[in-house]
Amino acid sequence: MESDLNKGAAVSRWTNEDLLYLLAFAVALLMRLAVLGLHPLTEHEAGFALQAWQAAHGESFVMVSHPAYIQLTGLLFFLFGSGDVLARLLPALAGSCVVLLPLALRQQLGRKAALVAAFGLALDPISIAISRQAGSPAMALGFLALAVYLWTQRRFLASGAAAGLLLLSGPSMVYGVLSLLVSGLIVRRSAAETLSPGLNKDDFRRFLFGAAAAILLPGTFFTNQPQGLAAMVQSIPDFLTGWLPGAAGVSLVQVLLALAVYQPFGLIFGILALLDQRRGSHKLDPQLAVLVLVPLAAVLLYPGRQVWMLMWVMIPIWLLAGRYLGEFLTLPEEEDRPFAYGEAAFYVVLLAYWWHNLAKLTTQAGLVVPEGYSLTDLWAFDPTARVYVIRLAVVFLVPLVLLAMSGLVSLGWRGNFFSHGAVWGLGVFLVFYLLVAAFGFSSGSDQLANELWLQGPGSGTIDEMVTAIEQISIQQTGTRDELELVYQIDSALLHWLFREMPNADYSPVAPENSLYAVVLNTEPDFGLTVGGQFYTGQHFSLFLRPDWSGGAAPPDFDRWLVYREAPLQSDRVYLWTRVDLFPLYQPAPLEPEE
Amino acid sequence: MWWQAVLWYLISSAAGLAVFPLVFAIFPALADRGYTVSRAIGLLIWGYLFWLFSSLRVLPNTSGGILAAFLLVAAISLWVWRRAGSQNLMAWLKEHRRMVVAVEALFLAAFAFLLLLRGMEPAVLGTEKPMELAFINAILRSPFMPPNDPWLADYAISYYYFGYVIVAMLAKTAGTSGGVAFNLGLSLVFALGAVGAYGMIHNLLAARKPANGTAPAGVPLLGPLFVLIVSNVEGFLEFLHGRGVFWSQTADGQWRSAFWSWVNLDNLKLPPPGNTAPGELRHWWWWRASRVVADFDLFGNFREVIDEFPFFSFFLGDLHPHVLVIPFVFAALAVSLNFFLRKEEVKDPIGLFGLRFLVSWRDILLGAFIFGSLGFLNLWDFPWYVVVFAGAHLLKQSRQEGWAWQRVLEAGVLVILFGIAGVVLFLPFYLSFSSQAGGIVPNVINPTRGIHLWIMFGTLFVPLFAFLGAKAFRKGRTAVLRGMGLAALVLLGLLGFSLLFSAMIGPEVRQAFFGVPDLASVLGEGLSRRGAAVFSALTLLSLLGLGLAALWPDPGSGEAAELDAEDAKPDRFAALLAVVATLLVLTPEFFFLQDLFSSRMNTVFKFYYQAWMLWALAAAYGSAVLISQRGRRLAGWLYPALFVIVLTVGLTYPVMALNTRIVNFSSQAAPALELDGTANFFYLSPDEHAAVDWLKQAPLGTLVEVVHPGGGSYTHFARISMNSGQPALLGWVGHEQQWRGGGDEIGSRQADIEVLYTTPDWQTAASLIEQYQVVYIVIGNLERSTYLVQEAKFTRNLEPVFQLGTITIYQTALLDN
Repeated sequence: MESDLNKGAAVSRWTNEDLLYLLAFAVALLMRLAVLGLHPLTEHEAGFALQAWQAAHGESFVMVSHPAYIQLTGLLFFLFGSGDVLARLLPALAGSCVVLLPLALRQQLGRKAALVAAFGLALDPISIAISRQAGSPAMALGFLALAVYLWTQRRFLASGAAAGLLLLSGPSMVYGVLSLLVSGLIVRRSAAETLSPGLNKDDFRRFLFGAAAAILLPGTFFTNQPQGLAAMVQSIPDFLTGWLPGAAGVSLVQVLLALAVYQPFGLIFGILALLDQRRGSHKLDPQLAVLVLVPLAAVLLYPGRQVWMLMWVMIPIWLLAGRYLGEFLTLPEEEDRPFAYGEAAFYVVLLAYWWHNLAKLTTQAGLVVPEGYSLTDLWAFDPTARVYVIRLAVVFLVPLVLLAMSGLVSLGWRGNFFSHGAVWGLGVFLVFYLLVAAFGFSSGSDQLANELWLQGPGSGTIDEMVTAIEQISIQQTGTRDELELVYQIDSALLHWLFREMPNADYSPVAPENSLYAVVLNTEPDFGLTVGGQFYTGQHFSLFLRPDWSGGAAPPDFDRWLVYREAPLQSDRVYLWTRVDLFPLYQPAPLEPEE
Repeated sequence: MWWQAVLWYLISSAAGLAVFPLVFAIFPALADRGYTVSRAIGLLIWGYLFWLFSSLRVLPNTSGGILAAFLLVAAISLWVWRRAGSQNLMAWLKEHRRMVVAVEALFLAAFAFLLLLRGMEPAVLGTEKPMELAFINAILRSPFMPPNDPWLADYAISYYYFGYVIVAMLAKTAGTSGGVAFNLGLSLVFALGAVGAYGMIHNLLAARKPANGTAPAGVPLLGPLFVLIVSNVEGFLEFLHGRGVFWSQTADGQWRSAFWSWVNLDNLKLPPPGNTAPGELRHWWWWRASRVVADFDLFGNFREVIDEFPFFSFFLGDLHPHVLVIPFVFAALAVSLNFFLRKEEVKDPIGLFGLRFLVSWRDILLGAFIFGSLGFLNLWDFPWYVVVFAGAHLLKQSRQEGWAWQRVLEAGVLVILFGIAGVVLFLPFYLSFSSQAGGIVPNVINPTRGIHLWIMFGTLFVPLFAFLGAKAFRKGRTAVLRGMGLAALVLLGLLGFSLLFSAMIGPEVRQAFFGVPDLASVLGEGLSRRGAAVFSALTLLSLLGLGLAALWPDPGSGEAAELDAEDAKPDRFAALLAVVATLLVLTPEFFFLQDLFSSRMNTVFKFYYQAWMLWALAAAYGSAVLISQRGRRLAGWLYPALFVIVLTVGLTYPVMALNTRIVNFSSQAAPALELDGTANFFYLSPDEHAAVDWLKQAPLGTLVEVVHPGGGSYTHFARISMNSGQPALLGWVGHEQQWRGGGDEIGSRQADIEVLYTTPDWQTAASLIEQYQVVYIVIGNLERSTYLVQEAKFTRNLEPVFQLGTITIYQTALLDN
């Protein structure tokens, strides 16, 4: 019998390009999975995780949204037990699939462009941040990417399944799908040519079958939770409710700020791709431009806007940026190379210096000019003020210097406004910026609470509180979770934290005639009450919320920009422990009888 | 808030549009292809799928669940459309755009009219409106079906609540509050009823002219006119009474009137109030029109009987099941009419036990769904519309296959098939429903007086007698005599059976119902009263006789008979409606359904209402036919003249009622149209309003509020649960007893609630809280004024989760996380 090799059948081999995509995917996975359990779940995340836990335990609840997350994470919980990491696992995995989109479009985009976009998406801060949240919208994006990739590979059944899972991914999918549809209507024929060469009815039927199977099976947790179907459809009224006046959305300023702060790489080069037409336009440019502008306009117009909606803008921006940068991934002509290297180095140094000054500027917390004095007076006798003013000048002047330099060079040297050197230099600097921003997930709770992409309040010192409770429990019962505890705060996070403590009860009113070992409430004076006199308490921070004095931007903007530091407001909870539980407790001596 | 009305219009229209392809396929024999009932059927199918899947815990009671049900309806309809051929439907719509425009204009006009009417007096106050609002709010808050009983915590509603599910479904889709949904629901029902009635007349008239298949756009307006606007004669009598007509003053200054004494209607048998100007009417004068018929027990004590008609119901503004069912009645009649007019033989007719039917199993399923839904909407209607269909089947089959007693058996089996299938399709409802009905009781001593019957239905009798008389006499004297003979047999049979039944029931039962155990006294008094009410019997006998004569097969043969047969089909159908309606009115003359009232009040109420609907349709159709056939001779102008008189008399009530409403509205300090029925509650203070708003957002839990010592029905008690949707431990006691056929489920709740409020002992209160799993305890002015509330125990031991002014809500530790 002849082997396939001897028959001369084609054997697939991994090319360098494939390996690079694999690397991009690995980077995406790494960025999304690393230290996934570093921070406790937030209140927003806990709401979803709790429902998944309830699904896993067969409890009765009303599923209101995101059935894909709840059903599939419920399955994970059922198989492996529940936890913070598992609660965030599926969005992280799905979010990593975003790198498949450039892979799917590499024929149309160009190979280098697609690679750049893939790495960019792997490292995109918003994408990473959103992918690391339980119940996040990243699943919608991930399933969309998967559906598109599989479609282009003509695996229509699997593509349909991914599309079905997309429909199960909560209200974010409505926003994304609508934006895509509107964009598709605008670009119509060219989009059809790009995505559907040679499609026939059977292919479409297979796609529909896959979608139906995904909706009916995982969507209903294999018929155990049929209300998943209603939760899928609930996305539509939830989306429509966001259009009503008074819908709870973030301000326009915050969205634009997020775009500038988290996406400068994609934004700058994406804009350059559209503006710098002297290198010749690409046939995908108009479509990508529409794909950027339509969801961006929708975000800006939508009263219920959230920062995570920018993830639908981020993809076409990166594709555009990749398209632009791809053309600079070749070496310039030999005679220009030294100049290009020099220009790049100059850019990197100047920008690094610029960032350094910006960072230093913030540590001086601004400059206060006392009454009766002027800036000139301060300059004359206060060295600190002098340094401050110089740094301020550097921060404003460096970009101007760079632009002026590039302009002079292009006028006097080469026709292109931005030459290789400028692009390389800017690119290198922004890569560092991107990496720093992308690694924001490893920052402390305070910094996380100040991030714009966070939905709801951040978690405070919950870990410490849980540790304290576990210690008390071990001391009293020998196990971590048998402690008798009552908590009086209706919080999804607390329900999640105490979900597997059989003796933990939620009660808005402290039950009378029973002295729980631990009481958790928001009453600072509980210890002074009749029932509370047997308790001693300590406070923790349950939630951290930005306290920006009602403003859309942080009050000390540059400090926030560099360090993500800004005033925070803490929601305190008080952990009241029964005094007799302390090892050194001694009851008060009895009064001698008369 | 008015934009909510726009939303409701759009949503109901979307339901109609989504389901029209399906309806188009179902009603091939109707000229309008079911267009006029497509909204009603759309809401019906949508509501049914949502209710069924929610009862099975597949769809939660959320906007997502409701939308999922809608998408399913749309998907089914789309599938039918693609199979049937979309070009067919579009071509039809193009060809009939005049009718479509007319129907849409009528719908909008009717909707706007009732919105204005309710906007002038939107309050959900008085009669049973609080109960209806309580149902809507309870359904809005229930996570799944069946919905929580708002006035008996831990139980589901035991009532025919499907209409409220549809209203709440629309409310949830549009984001409407319960108070606004109440008035929007009423307005929508009115508009749906208007187009449904229009469609019936349109289809009947179009079937009379098979050559062009159309009818003038304006004539079918007689349908909604007679069904929804024309009222009984009581309004005209009020007009006369208010002007002192037929009153004369005696020498000693007393006012006397033989006429008004003979009419013997409360308020009208008294002279007009001296302190009002001529023409001015007394407060709530319009109420009397629904209390025309009067019963008296053997000792002469008055027993109230209710005889509402549609305009009264909409003017009063009660969103009761008998009102909610109106649009769907027309859907049911459309099914029967489509079957009756259908020319093609059905491909797979049913054959059972040697009996042959002209329907397929698909027809049974469709009929079971539509008729069965009537049972879920207003239980009393289910059997009667099945009887209409069975009657149509009997007529059609007799015509096609000749008369035989087997036809009656086949019609009977059809009723059983529809009955069984209709119950099975709505099984989750029947499993949770307990009826107050306790059997059939003979009515021996309370026939309806003739004058009262004519006051009630006179505006319909005139066109009915004219139309049926013309039809019957056209068939010849033999047909008339046969009809009368058969009618007499029916009447005598009913009388005889009633008398026999009264003899068979024991003396204890006679004592309970008639006040005396002695059969001879009962029969003697009964026969005497029947003699006094002979005019009523003659009226019903004549109507039934003429109707049966009109249904009799045509004696002619040959070509003329064939032509006549086609033309006669809609006439026969109208006659069938008249016959069934007559049976509806005849039945309570001899029997009634036993309930907590132990009288025929409810039976007359429900049966007369449906009789009005059917007679009004027949009268509208008959008027259209008679006017179109009037000819040029003097006698040909007789009916048009009578028609004008009938309209004048029948429209007096609505005109006067509207005038009263406008005057009352204009006389307010700051008149402003309002749709929220709870906006200016006089018995909910601003503090209590705020408490209700808080409770609407709070988690579901058993709520305790004061219960009136007398039960609280028709009062403002149970105000918090009614408005918030939170289930009360106990609300209107009397109504709960009615719904459940007794007080077993209520147990000792009423007494225990009083103890809970009044005991100073916390342990006693705590044990009651634990027993009933109470979560919220309301203490407001009403509680304090009804009970001697010992609030200190709550203050010491519970958490006040809401406190504003005079109202406090305490929450116990029993709320689930």
